[in-house]
Amino acid sequence: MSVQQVDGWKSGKESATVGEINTNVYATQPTRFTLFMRTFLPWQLWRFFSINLKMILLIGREKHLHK
Amino acid sequence: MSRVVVLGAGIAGHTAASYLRTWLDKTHEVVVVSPQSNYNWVPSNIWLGLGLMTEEQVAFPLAPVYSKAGIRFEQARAVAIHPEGSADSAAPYVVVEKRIPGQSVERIPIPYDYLINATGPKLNFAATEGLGPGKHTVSVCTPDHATEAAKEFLALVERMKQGARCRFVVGTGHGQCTCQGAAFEYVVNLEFELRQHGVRDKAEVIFLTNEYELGDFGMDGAFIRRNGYITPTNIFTESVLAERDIWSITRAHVRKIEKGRVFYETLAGEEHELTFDMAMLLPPFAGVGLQAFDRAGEEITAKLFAPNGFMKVDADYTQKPYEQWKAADWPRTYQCPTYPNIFAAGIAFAPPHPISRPHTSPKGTPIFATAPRTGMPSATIGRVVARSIADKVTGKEGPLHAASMAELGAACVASSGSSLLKGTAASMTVFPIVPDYERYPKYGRDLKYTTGEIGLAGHWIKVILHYMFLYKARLHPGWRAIPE
Repeated sequence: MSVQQVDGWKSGKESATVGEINTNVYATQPTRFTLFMRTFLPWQLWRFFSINLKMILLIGREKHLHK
Repeated sequence: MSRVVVLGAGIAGHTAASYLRTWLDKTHEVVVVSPQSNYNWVPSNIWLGLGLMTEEQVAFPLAPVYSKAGIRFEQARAVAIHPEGSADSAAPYVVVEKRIPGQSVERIPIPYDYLINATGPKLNFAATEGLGPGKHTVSVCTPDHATEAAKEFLALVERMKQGARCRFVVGTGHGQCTCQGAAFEYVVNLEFELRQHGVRDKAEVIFLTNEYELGDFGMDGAFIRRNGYITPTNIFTESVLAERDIWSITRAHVRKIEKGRVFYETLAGEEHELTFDMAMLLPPFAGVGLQAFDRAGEEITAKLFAPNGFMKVDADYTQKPYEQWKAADWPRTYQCPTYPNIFAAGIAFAPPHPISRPHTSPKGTPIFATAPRTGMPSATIGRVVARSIADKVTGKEGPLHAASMAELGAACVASSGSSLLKGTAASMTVFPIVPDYERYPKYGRDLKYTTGEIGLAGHWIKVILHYMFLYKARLHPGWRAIPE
């Protein structure tokens, strides 16, 4: 976790007392390939099908439980 | 002939009324009481709040839809339940306040055989000084609020185009808020729109939340299987923010807001403040303040409602520590234990306890996410309650139908950029919503159905869901084929 005193640091605003702001610089970041795949149409068409199928199975599982 | 009265025309109430009208023949009456004249598909208020949609695209008038369906609609506010009737009659009734054009507010009794309380939440802006529209922050809870938020956002964008630097604070406006998912969706969409307007370099965007960790979302977080790892939603959510250079403040209870300044206490007990140009902070929820009276006119509100105003149902409300919470504590049928012809659906029922682990600051301030009840479970609960009542009305024998949040899954698609080619969304499914550590000892949930990923496909699904659910809510042909 990266914690900084940041108020007024970037915006140039009147400084105020600010506590811990996590600038998230040590968080997991996607690679360029991952970013590319997120909007790559053939892959996203497959994901569209796959996510919908997962949601339908989820609904089906609920109905099975509530019979 | 039976009369079923549904209080509220949100996702749970509208779903319940629509199914009841389908399952009961016309000798029975279905009455919907709502102070709102419109149905609002709340999840799309996120887009409305950034100027990407209009009010007409996320809401529609209820009266014509109900008139066509054969549902009686009373635009009024329910104020009291008399489950034992009055001194003159044992027939139970609700009292509603109806505004007659050109006259004062009139109080009208509406008798019922079965009652569904689906009144949703009271948006409790008053819990934090200075919070809410008309004060110092904006909200996206209603179409009106979201329209105001969009105006403020677009005005700041114009200022930034002239060279101004602005700070946006988005999140929760109190230590006991829920719906962090909506605030998260708003902040990533706001950041995307800043980029679309070419002013991202002039903005600081901060996500301020009462969650113990990012990705808690009021459901104690979740674990998802992805790319060879079982990853907590904390990592997933932090990554989404990091990638967009959105900073975050967690474990915060906002206690006061002044013009351009938010004052908050942290779980460590520290007091801080932060300046802002625009703040979209969600309020905590409470019950709408319905009262209840017995036949003699004595108030019995505490018998039907929890102290937070939500209705008590078939849950285990015994006070116990987090370690002893069980999935079985959660209600299954949503039937009122004292008056079996009353049910509560959607946000109106009182959860037995939060889902997330509770935390309190050294000053005694509770700071943690309270239990969410999103659209999918609310609609499912509405349908199940309607099924139970329809069975009772038609004389079908058998137990009530059930839909525990510890047996229900939820699909959540959080848009993170509205563009059919460049947009993305975080698509999540969890099963069950309330973790069940007896069935799934290690992670509390079934990892086969608990998933999360980001991509353009999620945005397409979000857009399709918007049109599909509005089609369903308008009760157009085939609406029943669309699942909740």
